[in-house]
Amino acid sequence: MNDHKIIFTGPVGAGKSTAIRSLSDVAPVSTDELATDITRERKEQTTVAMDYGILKLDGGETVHLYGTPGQERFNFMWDILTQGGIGLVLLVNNARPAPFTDLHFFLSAFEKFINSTALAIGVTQMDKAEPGAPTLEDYYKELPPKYINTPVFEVDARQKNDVVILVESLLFSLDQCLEA
Amino acid sequence: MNTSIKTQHEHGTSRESDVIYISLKGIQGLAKKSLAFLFSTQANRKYELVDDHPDAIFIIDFDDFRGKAAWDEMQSHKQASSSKPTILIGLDPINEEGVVSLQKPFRTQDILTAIDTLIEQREEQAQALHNRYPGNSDVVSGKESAQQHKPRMSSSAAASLNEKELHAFIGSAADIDLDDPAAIAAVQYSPERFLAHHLGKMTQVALKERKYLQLGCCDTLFIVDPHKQCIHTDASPRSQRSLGALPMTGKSPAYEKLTKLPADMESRQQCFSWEAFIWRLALAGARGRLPEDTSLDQRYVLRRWPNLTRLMLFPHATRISAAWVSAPLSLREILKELAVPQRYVFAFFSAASATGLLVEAEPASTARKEKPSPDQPSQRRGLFRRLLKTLYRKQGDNRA
Ligand SMILES: Nc1nc2c(ncn2[C@@H]2O[C@H](COP(=O)(O)OP(=O)(O)OP(=O)(O)O)[C@@H](O)[C@H]2O)c(=O)[nH]1
Ligand SMILES: [Mg+2]
Repeated sequence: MNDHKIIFTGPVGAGKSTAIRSLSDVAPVSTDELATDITRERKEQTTVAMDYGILKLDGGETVHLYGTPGQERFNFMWDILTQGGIGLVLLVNNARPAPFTDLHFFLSAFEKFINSTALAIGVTQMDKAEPGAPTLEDYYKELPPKYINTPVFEVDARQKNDVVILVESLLFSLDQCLEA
Repeated sequence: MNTSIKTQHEHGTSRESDVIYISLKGIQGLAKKSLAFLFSTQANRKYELVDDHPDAIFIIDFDDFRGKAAWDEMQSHKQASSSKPTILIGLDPINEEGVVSLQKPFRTQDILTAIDTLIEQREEQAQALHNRYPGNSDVVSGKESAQQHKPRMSSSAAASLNEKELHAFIGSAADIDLDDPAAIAAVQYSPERFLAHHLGKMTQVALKERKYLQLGCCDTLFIVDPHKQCIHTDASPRSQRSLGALPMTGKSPAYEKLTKLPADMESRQQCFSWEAFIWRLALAGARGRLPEDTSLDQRYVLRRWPNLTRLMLFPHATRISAAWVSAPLSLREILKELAVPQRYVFAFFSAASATGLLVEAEPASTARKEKPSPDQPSQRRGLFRRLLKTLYRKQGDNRA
């Protein structure tokens, strides 16, 4: 009954661990380890298993926040993880070499889940991206037609406000008649 | 650290309680009485009409011989009086440098905005002077001037409006009867008279043709940079609201092509994300009103979500975006569906139109797109509502 959850996914360094930390009401559980092999050049720490945080609602309910590990490109666990989930937050690291390849990879990996729920995309590291990196307009052009109504925002995962607005847009995509 | 917080706070409160001295020249009789009445109805400001006062702001009617004479008199003492903050009003466009001018007929709000502009300019000059000759409290000025030199790019976070700003950007008009043409006319404005409209049009062209385009208006230069997708300007962030809020006088500004970015603009490195800049100016000009000739029954649709994390956010903006992204809706329809105060929808309409994001829906697409129905939406609505409440609270935390 009480197993509401929001899933955060995206490639290495997109800010999944950070976003969950920004939002969580308890110290999040991360299974970060020193990055090995490929990831090491880019960042010190990477999540090897899962991020986990909690949002506490009035009345004692909780919403679980799960982050998939970015390094693991495919995992049969994802199917189980998403069951009953409210929706998907996809963070894309705009400073990576081919962000659109990442985008399509995660859209197709979570296609079934997105189709039955909703999606919100946060493009992170826009401040660090190279001059030629894609703009938000480019992301909209790149999205498959069926995702055309998806919110795509510039997000800095360290800014709680950014993450909050992204999740709000996810909820309103599901139900515009929600009221505060 | 402490010093800076305290000083800013004091600054804020002193502004609220300060008396604003106004000197009228060439304005008497009924006009004077109406202005006095307008000033007396402003709850959060205190105005006092004076003949002369060292801090007075002058409002001069150019069409009255006494007003004209007072202006000529001020001009002849220009050395001494050049810094006197002045608002010139007249039936014809007025081209005088260094003053704010309003063309008749104008709305009462315009005169209050003009006064705010002059006060902001005066405070800015004082701040600049203070930065140049810092006194003992240079903790604050040092910090501020460092910030001023930082390149301003699109990475600044979304700004949620506080109550005073909310009033300035969205207004506080009550809902009107949508079947009453006179009531509708009263909440409309001409976008062509405001800067956001022209900047918006120019930006669309600049981005499409990938050219630098420049617009000069209101003593300020604006250059759209199609590569960085931003607008270079020397307008300080503080003066932006009044730039957007003041109706322009005279003929509408024309833009010109530049082959490259002028060196001084480039070195200044103050470039604002075009979307955030135009959005803000448009909100300031509209103040919760609707562009004139907008049909309440024409359907509109958002080409994409506005980049809400970097825009000036106001209540219901996320909801309105979600509704207008998912289906073509007329103003009448969206107001009925969302049941939010009209001024928020009108403000959104103005800002999203000026940025080119909200466009008329093609007649063929008038049917509502059916969304794949999510798992038991009605059962989950209660949960979503409680979740939303938690999120709103977190947004508040962040602002504090
Ligand atoms: N400059 C900048 N840094 C960011 C932004 N978003 C997140 N970061 C930082 O980027 C780094 C990577 O973020 P993480 O949260 O570890 O990324 P992750 O998605 O969990 O990465 P993996 O666990 O490796 O999959 C952290 O140091 C964040 O503070 C952003 O928009 N700009
Ligand atoms: Mg991580």
